[in-house]
Amino acid sequence: MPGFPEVVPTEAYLGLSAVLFGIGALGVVLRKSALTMFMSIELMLNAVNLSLVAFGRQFGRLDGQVIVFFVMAVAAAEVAVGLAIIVDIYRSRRSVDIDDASWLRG
Amino acid sequence: MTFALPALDWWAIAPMLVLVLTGCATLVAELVRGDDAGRAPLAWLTVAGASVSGGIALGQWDDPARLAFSDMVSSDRFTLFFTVLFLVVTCVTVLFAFEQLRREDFHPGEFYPLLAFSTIGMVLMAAAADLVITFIGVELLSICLYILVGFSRRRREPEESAIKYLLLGSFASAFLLYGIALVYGSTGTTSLACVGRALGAPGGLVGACEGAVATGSVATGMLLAGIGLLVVGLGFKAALVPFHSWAPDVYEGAPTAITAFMSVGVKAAAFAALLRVFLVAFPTLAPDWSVLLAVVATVTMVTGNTVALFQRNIKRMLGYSSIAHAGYLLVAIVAASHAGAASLLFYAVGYAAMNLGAFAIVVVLGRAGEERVAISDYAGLSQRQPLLAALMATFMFALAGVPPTVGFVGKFYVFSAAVDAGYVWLALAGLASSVASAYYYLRVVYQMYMVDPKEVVASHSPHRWVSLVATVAGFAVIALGVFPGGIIGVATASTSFVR
Repeated sequence: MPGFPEVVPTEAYLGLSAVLFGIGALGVVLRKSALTMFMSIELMLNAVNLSLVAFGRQFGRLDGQVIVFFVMAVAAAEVAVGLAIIVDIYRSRRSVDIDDASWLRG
Repeated sequence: MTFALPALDWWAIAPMLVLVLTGCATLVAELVRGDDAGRAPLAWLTVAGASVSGGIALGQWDDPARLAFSDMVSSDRFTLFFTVLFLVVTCVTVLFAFEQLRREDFHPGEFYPLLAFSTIGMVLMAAAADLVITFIGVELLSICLYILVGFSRRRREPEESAIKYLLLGSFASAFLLYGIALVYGSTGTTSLACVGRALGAPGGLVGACEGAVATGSVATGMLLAGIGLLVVGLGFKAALVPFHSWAPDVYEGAPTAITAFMSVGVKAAAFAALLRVFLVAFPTLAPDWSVLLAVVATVTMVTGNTVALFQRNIKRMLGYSSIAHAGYLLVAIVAASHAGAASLLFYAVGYAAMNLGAFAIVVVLGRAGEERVAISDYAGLSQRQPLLAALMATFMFALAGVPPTVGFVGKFYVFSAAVDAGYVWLALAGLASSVASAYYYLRVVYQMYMVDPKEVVASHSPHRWVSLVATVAGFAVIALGVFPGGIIGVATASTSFVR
């Protein structure tokens, strides 16, 4: 196909990753449900994973992808603890909206 | 085809291995003895494990500095210094928790393994020779703390603290990780020493550095963005302004033992990681980042000390005070010199003594079901319990930086390192804000000595261990203030990798 590069350049992956990271960060800042905020954080972590794999491919080495495995393991542990805390909150006040209490008073 | 196992230097991570075993042992023991009477052995098992681990760390003091596990962790005096400091903080936290949780009649056995695992996270942060290990250390520490912060019989406030710390903490971790990815992308390596070499830093302990880009061919823009994101991620753990908004609420809502652990241990771990990252990987970029960090340090000191003036809850006041002290510690990193790094280690020890002492008094004065953390609860303490009041006054004077306490000597070393590095204005800002801080520290002393007690308080359990901690801390605060030479010598020897 004329006009298209043979291989997708690293910059394209980095751009997508930055956009995904930004969407995740906006989600954390703008949404009020603790669950949605938590999902947005996972989106941010996975955006970084995309960058790491793209860099690994650019350098022709595996260490970028190895780091991703570490990140996935850590994210799984974080989800386990995070959901437990959110369920606990839901049990005691029947809502996971952070506006329902003066939670984030500075 | 044969596979040879790589030579593993188990001895280099022996203090951490002992802590892993301690955590697993307490976890199993908790299952076996599920009743409440089985809790005391768990506390002593944790203290014993931490003592063995600390003993090994002290025994490794004269070992040669080296990298271990494929250049992932460094076993050097810097690691050992912080390992011993963290273990002391952990033991003190166990003693606090033991007394406090028993008093609250809420004493789940999971507390002790979680504390042991979060200590491993702190040690990993200090030992990290690779950004990936820094990340894993931060996460191990944080994930355990998300649970520990919510550990209480009362539901509402601890729950709020836990969810707040969880959401903001994982948010900050994502920034830290993005920073690591950008540093990797611009230098081709995540090893701190190899990043340093790619940026033209003089040698030191450097591993193989396969895949790192050649010296001088680093993508600078991406690297600077990565450094900025690392500051965000680690600055959150250290509670630097403007990443501090979680700290006062979390400190207030968490059990006092965990508040003490976070304000001393976690802060020291975050600064150990900051020091490693910035002075091993990015020393050649010091002119770029030191101005940024100097501004952050100034804002942190001023904000922490100003907002602390208006607090009525002593845990919240100590929370803002710990933000201000994070600013002082950051001044030591801004100096980017060997003297600055040594002063950071000294200040970390002194701050641990004075802050753990202050929290010990807070724990002792609490009662079942009632923490008694309003500053007005300290009215007339000198008439009821003169020894406790004298100790608390010592800690308050030390935190304010009055000679001859360790607080004064620590600030002197930190600010003189900043002056030597050419940051006279930063040292002056620090001095001015610490003079202002005397007001809120001395207000506690005023309450204890000048105001009559509001009520006659019934005597309560004596808290032998916590009182012992307070007494030892009070002794250390004075002794280190009068004879700082020993610790300064050790701190200087521990930071010889800084040039």
